[in-house]
Amino acid sequence: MIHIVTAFDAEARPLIDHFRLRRQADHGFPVYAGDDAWLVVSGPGKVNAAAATAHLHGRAGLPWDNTWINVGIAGHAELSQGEPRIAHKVTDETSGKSWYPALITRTPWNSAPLVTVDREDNSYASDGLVDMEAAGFMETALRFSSSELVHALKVVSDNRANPARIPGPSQVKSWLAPHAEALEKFCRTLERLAMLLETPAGVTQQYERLTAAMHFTVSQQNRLQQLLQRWQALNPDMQIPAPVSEQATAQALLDALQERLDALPPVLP
Amino acid sequence: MIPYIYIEREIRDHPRVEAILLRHQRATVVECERYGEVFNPKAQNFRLQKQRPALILAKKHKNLVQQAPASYGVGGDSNYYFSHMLNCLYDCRYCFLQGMYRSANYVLFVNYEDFLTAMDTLVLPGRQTWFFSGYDGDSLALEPVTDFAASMLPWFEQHPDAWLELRTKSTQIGALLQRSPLANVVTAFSFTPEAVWKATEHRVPSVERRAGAMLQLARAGWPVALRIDPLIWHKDYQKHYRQLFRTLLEALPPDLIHSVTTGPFRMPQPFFRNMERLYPEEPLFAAGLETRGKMVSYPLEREREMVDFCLQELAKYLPEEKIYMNLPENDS
Ligand code: SF4
Repeated sequence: MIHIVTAFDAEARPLIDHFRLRRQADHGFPVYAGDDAWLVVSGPGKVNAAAATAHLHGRAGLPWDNTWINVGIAGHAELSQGEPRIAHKVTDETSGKSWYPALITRTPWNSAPLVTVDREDNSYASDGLVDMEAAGFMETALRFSSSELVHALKVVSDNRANPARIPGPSQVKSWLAPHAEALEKFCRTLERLAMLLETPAGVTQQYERLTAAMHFTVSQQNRLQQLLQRWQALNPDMQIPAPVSEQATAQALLDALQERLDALPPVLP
Repeated sequence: MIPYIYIEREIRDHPRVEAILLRHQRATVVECERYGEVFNPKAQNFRLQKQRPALILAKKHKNLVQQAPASYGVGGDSNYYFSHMLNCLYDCRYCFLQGMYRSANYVLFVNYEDFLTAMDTLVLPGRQTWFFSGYDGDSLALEPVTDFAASMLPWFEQHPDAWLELRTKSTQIGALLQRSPLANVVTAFSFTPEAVWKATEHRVPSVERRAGAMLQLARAGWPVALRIDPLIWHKDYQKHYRQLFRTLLEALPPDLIHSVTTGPFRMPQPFFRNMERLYPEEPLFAAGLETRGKMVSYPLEREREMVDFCLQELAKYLPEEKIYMNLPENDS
């Protein structure tokens, strides 16, 4: 699932259209959802961005290691208006803290450093992009996903020659809309890679079946998960055998499964 | 191709950094304060980063050269190890690096001269002092990027009591072949049998190619060594290890071999748990191992059987004084 955070409605619109998202009945932040993407509009500033990211995480069912992207406009001293850049470093100007999103796949855009400021800054002194949200987004999204899956994509809205003034919604849409397709492709690639981190489906299925049938304490649940993972690695298409799964208690089942696994010799893949 | 190069601000103008950037003009350069900002954060995944690792250029400040574990040595008077690099070009599924680090990015400490200064204080005249490189990565695999061996050799030429081990699974021997051999620089090639290579040593050159590189180096007069480590148990392991020793040692006269070390697979438990989490579908971690003390390893009996077998086989080709056991950590 893709999770998108934008500051303004105008930044969100092209993505709402592209991903065919529908407005949800949320209080607090406007949230949109579709079959394979979520989007929240945070409002300006890093505090709003952090809060909206956390809100969306809860709203999306507390997903772990999913794709998250902050999309919006930013200033840059030199780059032309409408130029897209993905951030390879995000710095919170106030705290000095930096994050380094890991770009593990080719991107359709060049990358640049991005500085998040607390107040509008028309000095164009930075050699990178300047925005007001990305640091708050990164700080929060990295609590529940991995640096390879959390990114910020910005399109230049102002530069030294065309200093900041609030662009109209249609102008913002026209800058962002051309990148929606590429953004989706990029996020899909990340999602495919993120599948490497998922618990194998066979483990989850057997785990759910067994824990529904009998009571496991929390530590027994952890042990069951670990043993099922070993079982599945060795027998990818097989349920654990009946003499094991039909034990009368969780403890007996775990011991029987462990005994079976420990009796096996090492295996080369 | 290396897509991103992170550079600590302090060493931005270091000549070695300039040289690396010249060779990687298409890489995007990102400045950082300390390499740990990029390498150490929790929210990173080794397996994902292994898809496309970046290079981090840094300066090593402390603990440049460290005492080697008591169990490790190849006959010298004192043993030290050092790591000019963290992480590796290759992706061996049994490698402890994937359990130890969160990031798969390559860290290169470019202040080689500081490593040499630290070594200088440890070498005593008339005593053989070993410096093992390649503990946290492969010594030569990234030589075309790092120029590491080429930079270290002149110092070792001047210090005959200091011995360098370059430990590798690569065939990057160009820097050595370009100059006259040094008796105190030993290139130690690590091998497992072909079946293990195929199943677990992803991106590593074939056994045949590495054996060829080793032979070429030996014929050019460079001391070479074999590291049969870690021993990986599998069905037919006896047949496969016997075959491996035949391939390697029949081609190479014993007097050209400095040493052979061997040791079983043993992994600190926390690293092993991380590896299991990274590769839940990996059969290698799922059967035939047990936790003994702080280590995950084969059961003692199986381990002994395998070590004894390999020692016996090696003894058919080499005198005893060239064969060493490497048992990581305590317990027998
Ligand atoms: S070559 Fe050595 S350091 Fe590199 S991945 Fe393999 S075991 Fe690890």
